[in-house]
Amino acid sequence: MIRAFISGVAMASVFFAPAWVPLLTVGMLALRFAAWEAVLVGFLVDLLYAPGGFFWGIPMPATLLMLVVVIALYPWRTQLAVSR
Amino acid sequence: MFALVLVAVLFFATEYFSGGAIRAGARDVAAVVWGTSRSTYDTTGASGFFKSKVVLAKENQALRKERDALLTMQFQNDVLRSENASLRAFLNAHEAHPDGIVAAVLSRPGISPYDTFVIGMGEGDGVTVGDWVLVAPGLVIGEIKEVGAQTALVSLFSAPGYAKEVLLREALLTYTGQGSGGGVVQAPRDLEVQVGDLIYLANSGLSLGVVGHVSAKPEDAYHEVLIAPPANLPALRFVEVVHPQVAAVQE
Repeated sequence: MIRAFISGVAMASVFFAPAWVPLLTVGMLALRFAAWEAVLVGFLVDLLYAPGGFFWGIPMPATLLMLVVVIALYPWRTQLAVSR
Repeated sequence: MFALVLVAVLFFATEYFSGGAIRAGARDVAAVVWGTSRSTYDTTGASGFFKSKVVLAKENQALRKERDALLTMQFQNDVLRSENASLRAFLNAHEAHPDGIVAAVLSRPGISPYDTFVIGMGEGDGVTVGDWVLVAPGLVIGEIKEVGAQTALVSLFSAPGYAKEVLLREALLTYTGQGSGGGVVQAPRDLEVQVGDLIYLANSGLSLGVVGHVSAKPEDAYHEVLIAPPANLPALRFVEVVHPQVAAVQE
């Protein structure tokens, strides 16, 4: 339930909120769950806003960033015993 | 997770070779979401939906006495008045550029991490890649990067990596985008620059922004001049799309 709610907020924030809001919500998700939907959020950002799908020559930058966030927070999930 | 990433990579590869057709389609779909939220916001804002309870209670008592039809007309009137004020501001711009296209801003500048935003005019309305985007006569903020059937993606000149030749107090300098609507110019220390000075795109007469701050250290050969956008970007509701040559000639 919490996961669905935060995911919904993250998705909606892509359309209506500053860029730090999706990043924050995705960080919260990734700290608690193995949040594959975080990649979807990044994907949506790239789809709507990235000119040509690239930024500074990097393809799909938000998708990659969200992937890094999810992977980077994996040890924290286990360390803090909040993993599910 | 791996499968999802693989799908995303394949999707973007397809996108890259299809010339952005899927992205443009996605923006056209998202335009419905932005349009609906904008009209909802306008209606609730005009109705005082988010005012305090005390104010709402008083207004409710007064409004109950009015007929429903009259109330609805009042809301509609407020919405139309707001839009009318924005469009009137653009009337001068349209007179300056008769071929310009006035477009509604769908996604607020500042939402995108790439200093981009989406407008509600596309290929069918005559918008083409490379057109300039003006917020008022003589004030340019960006250019069209991608065009869909009903929408277009605008990249602000403040996006990181953008570099433009500009005139500041008649000195030809290079402006570099820094993100979040701002940019920076390295000015020689003997050039007297003051907060509030306008910078102009070279060979166009269009202003790109205004000097917001001058950082001068005694040991530096250059002043770092921070440039603020020429308008309150988050509050933008309409912009004008003009071909660069037309804009430059008519200014």
